[in-house]
Amino acid sequence: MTENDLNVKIKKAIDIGLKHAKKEGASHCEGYGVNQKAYNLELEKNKPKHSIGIQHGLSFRVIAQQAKGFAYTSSFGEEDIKYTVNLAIQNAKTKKPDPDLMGFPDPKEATHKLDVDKKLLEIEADGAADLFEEIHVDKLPSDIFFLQSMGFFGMGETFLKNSQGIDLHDQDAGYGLGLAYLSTHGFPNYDFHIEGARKLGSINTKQLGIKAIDKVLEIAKPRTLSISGEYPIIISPDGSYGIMGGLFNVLNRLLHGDKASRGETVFADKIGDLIANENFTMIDDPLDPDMVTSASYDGEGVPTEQTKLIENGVLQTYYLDTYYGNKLNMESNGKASRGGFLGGNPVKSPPSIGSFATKIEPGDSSLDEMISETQEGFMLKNFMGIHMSDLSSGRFAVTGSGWYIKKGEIKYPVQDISISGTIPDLLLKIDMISKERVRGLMSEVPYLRVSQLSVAAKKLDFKLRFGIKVLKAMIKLGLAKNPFI
Amino acid sequence: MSDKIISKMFETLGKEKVDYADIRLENSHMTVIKTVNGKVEESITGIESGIGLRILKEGVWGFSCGPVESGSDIVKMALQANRLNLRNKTQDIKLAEVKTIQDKFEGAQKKKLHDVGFDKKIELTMEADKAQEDERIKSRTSFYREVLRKMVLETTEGTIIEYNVPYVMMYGLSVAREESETIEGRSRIGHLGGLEVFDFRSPTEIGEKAKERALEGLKSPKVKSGRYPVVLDGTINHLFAHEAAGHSAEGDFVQTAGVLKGKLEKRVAAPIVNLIDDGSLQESTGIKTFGYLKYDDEGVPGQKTYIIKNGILETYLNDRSTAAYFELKPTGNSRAEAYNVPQIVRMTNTYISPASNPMKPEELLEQIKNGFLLMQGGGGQVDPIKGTFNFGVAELYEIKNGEVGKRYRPTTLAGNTLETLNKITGISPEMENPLDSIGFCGKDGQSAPVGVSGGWLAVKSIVIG
Repeated sequence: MTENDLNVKIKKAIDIGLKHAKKEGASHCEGYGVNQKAYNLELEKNKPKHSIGIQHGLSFRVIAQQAKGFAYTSSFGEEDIKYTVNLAIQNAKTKKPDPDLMGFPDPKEATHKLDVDKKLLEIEADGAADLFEEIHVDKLPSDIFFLQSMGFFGMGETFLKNSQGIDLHDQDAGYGLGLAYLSTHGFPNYDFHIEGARKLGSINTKQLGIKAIDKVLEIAKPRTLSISGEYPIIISPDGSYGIMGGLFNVLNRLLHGDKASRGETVFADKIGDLIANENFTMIDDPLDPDMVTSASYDGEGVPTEQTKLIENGVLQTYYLDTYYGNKLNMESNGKASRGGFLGGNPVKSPPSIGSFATKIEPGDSSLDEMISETQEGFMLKNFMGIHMSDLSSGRFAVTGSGWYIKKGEIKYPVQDISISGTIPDLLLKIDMISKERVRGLMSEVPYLRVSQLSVAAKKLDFKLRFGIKVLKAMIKLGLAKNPFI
Repeated sequence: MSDKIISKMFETLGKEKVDYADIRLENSHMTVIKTVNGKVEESITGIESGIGLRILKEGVWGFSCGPVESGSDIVKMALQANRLNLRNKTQDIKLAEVKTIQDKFEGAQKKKLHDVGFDKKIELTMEADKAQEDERIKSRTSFYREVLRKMVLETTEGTIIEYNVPYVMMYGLSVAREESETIEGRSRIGHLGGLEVFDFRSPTEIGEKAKERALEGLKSPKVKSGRYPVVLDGTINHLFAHEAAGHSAEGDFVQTAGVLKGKLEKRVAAPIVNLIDDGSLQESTGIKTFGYLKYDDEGVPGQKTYIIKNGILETYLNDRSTAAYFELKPTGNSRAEAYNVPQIVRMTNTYISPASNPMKPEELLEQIKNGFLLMQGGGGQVDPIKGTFNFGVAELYEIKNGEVGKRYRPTTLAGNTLETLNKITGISPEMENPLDSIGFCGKDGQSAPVGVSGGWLAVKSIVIG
């Protein structure tokens, strides 16, 4: 079965499902289908782990007896489609009627259409592998070792049709490339650099590895400290929205409209209030022409838009879909998300509120000024434990790595630094925002200095530190193999 | 129909002269129900079907996946993936020898998932919601998830295993609020089996526990961040054993880097420490475990593996390729979340038990004297290369003069794996109820059901808060 055959099958299956839902008494029905091809390229040290797959499936969301139901399948036979629709209807009918449920969205033309790179859409596996191989660096600095590289190339089609008349057939493509290097200067440390794009050539493949090496050199030979108290913290872009642990993902969750409507977030009923430093402006931008998560329509077919969530410190709105927009007497701002490139098979869950790409406006300080104005503190990134944060209050206690700052200068890299606090408190304590912004896979944000955060850290046990020193000496003398490589 | 599809794919692969291939043909069923504040917020039922094909040719893998109808395309894609892997080949992948198996892995269900209607499952979830009601609880969430994993594994060596494995889990999440203070309380259960899991703990009890944790947390003071001597309960034993020590021992991780690399047969923990992964542990304290595996996804039987024995690193956790690489035995730890991802090394039921000098929980409290008792771990993250970890803790109590005292607000604990393994000063042998220690562990974007609770641990020093 060719890819086009699969497209025909999906379209036909959606039509069968919509017709069947109507016959079975559903007042509204929405069918969503996916046919995407992915090249997942991975080199783990010296072990290639490339794979190729077709991501496929269909889901149906219905309204029956004034309640929503949802079911999915990855089988396209007519009986299976009807069975799946029946499941969705049964699923709806077992619920109580929801008076807030007004139906699925009506068709609306997107004013801003994103371009699709045809070359990327048609790239063959060997072409993807060529690009992937280009990112590797042959000559590495001493004590720096290659750990892992990865590439993902996703291209394909999605279909969305509902009983209100929305009928979208979207072709899309995106790719991402990244590498990790390990430093064995002192205690082992590593870092990762990844970039994503929607147009072939947007990622400078020759520079990617060099950037990753620079990042790992900057954190080589980290120390641990025994310290506790309140200190200023500069949160780097990798620390706020990096894929290896971004603390500000907690903020995004606190701004979800569903949480606000249920009073589940500290920012419920706070529209119009000053909730952050007056220079802090945060935008969700699904229309960035070259971000892998960009989209012209959201997961339920509403045109997407650039949304200022916080402007000059004042909360402007929440992330909203059709249902919660209506519930909060507001309008959807096109934030219904179905996952996708990075979120597994999007047919497996109904559209739910999510962000596309977060941007924070630059400030008026340079990073150098932020460091030089810090008497004693830390610049941190790559936090662990974010998923344990309290997504209602925004309370967090996370462990990160980065640099120790003393008398306005970066002294040395550090690791195992635990910081704790709450996101609302942190936002109000931001006292400096950098002019420089760094573009990540799903974000473009500056460095943010928080005037005071609670810090706790413990110096690594003497025996372990001593053991590593002995081991290093033995490796130099050729008496032992480096176990970290 | 599946026989025909698989035979045809093997026939094509035979012409391509592959050294080995395994096919996983899946047709699994899932149900998810999420209620929020007395209303069904999300209800999903789905059928996940497709084929995953892994081939070994010229010393490298090739993995592909796709719809059941696309068998020949899947074969082509696997060969293409294999060619891509050949471009970066530096060494041959070899597989450790195993016995071929023809069998079924059938998870017993007293109350079968398919015999109970969707409306009843909503009712059960609503029970957990109702039990959380309280004027101080601002938001109540209950979550029910069932998976019936139906799959056939066939290999070119002759292994054929039919999997029919049910999993059920439920959790409650209460958010208490007083003025501007909010706090979350969580509770969960799960097992490999049917809906009889609720005979051991009812949805009402799950909801009540979540509520109690939120309300108790709200009125409890915050602990001052710092280093403290601690006693960890069975759930945190499991969390530490799994997250910190277990992940660091996964053969595929160790091939790349990690704190346990190069440490086989060396001391990595206090001599009283045994670290065990036990896929063959079907029941603990009379309850079916979440991480039980009759066979893993390469057809290797689940088994009890001493990763660390008497403080010495005995083995890594292996699939067939890492076993061959390290010249160790396969340990039955090769798992894949579904047909659309390749098998990787995963844990099963993981815990620390005393190698010697077993102690009672009260003796551990007495030994620590002054510090904290940490109970009900939840969530966790580890960096197996740096060897650092960070866990959530739902219940925190002061230990004063060996007695359990005042309760504190939920918090986190953080530490270094090797350091903590060496700072364990006492272990109690009694396994705690595994219902509290179930979870879906995430690795490489895949999730796998894991357990199990253990005894209590005393640790000289750890960072809290």
